Amino acid sequence: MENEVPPDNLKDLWQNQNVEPIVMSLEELRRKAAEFQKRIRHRNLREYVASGVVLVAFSYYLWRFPAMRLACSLILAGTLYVMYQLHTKGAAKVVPESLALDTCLAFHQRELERQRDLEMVSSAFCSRADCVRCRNASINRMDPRIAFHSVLCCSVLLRVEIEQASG
Amino acid sequence: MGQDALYQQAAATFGRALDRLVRTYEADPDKRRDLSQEIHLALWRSFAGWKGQCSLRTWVYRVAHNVAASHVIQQRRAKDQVLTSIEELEHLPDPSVSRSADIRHALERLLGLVQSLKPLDRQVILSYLEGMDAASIGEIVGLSPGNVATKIHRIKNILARWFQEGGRYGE
Repeated sequence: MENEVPPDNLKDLWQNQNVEPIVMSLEELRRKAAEFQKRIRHRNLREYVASGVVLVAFSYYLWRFPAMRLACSLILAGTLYVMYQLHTKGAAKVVPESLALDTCLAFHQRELERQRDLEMVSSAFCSRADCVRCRNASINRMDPRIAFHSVLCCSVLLRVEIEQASG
Repeated sequence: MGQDALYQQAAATFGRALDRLVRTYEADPDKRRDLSQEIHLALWRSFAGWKGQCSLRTWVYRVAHNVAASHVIQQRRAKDQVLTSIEELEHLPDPSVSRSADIRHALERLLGLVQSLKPLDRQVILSYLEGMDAASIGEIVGLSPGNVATKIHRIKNILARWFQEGGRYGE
């Protein structure tokens, strides 16, 4: 029948097409997994060091400039929150079994929500540099609202980064 | 069965299907190779948490589709690419390209059609082309079998319009 739908023909055509096979040995997989975990560890170490510097610096400001007490306290609290997020969610040992336990629909919805969160934060502060600039501004103006906002944005950005890096 | 043995079994059984799947998610050969390696790595790592929660096929396809969907979302952000749904595609006019009897052209057109779809619809049509039934597709994708069956019906209509006009591959 000339005008009949040929789904089975298309299925055969699809399943018998020539594709370049990708073969990965177990050694290669282990090497790439080790590289990934090393990258995560380095990222975490960098963030811990940066957080440590912020904690020391703003503890000093807190002691030295009492007028900035509230702004400095918020920044210190936000930095501790970032370190907590790193410790609980940014570990290098994360295994992506959720990739298999989530249906594609659930995973897709979560991905879109994460992208939305990222865009929301990005639109408020285009980059982490802006957050830092804003943090500095909060010190100069002694405005605790800006400090709170900037710390919140840094935390959300970092959380999104951790989730993305953890796969 | 251990992580390595599970991965090797999955790669041996579904390796070619995964290669075909990657083709629908990435057109650039270099990026395709990267995406394929990313899927294999995620698959191997995921088997560390395998407790037989679902069939091996469902597990493999979920991991592969989810990694690939993330890739599509990131690429779409980078390229500002507009994707369509099966429902929208069903109401679009027939493609104006010449209908070729050549198998290679038929494959290219089929690939182009699949690549134009949103990730979830892409997963449905891809699973359909791999010969799965509505219940299996529903388990992987997370839609009810009835919903999947409706989508498959629409897919068949679209394929009929695109590929069937007087010959085996739409000559």
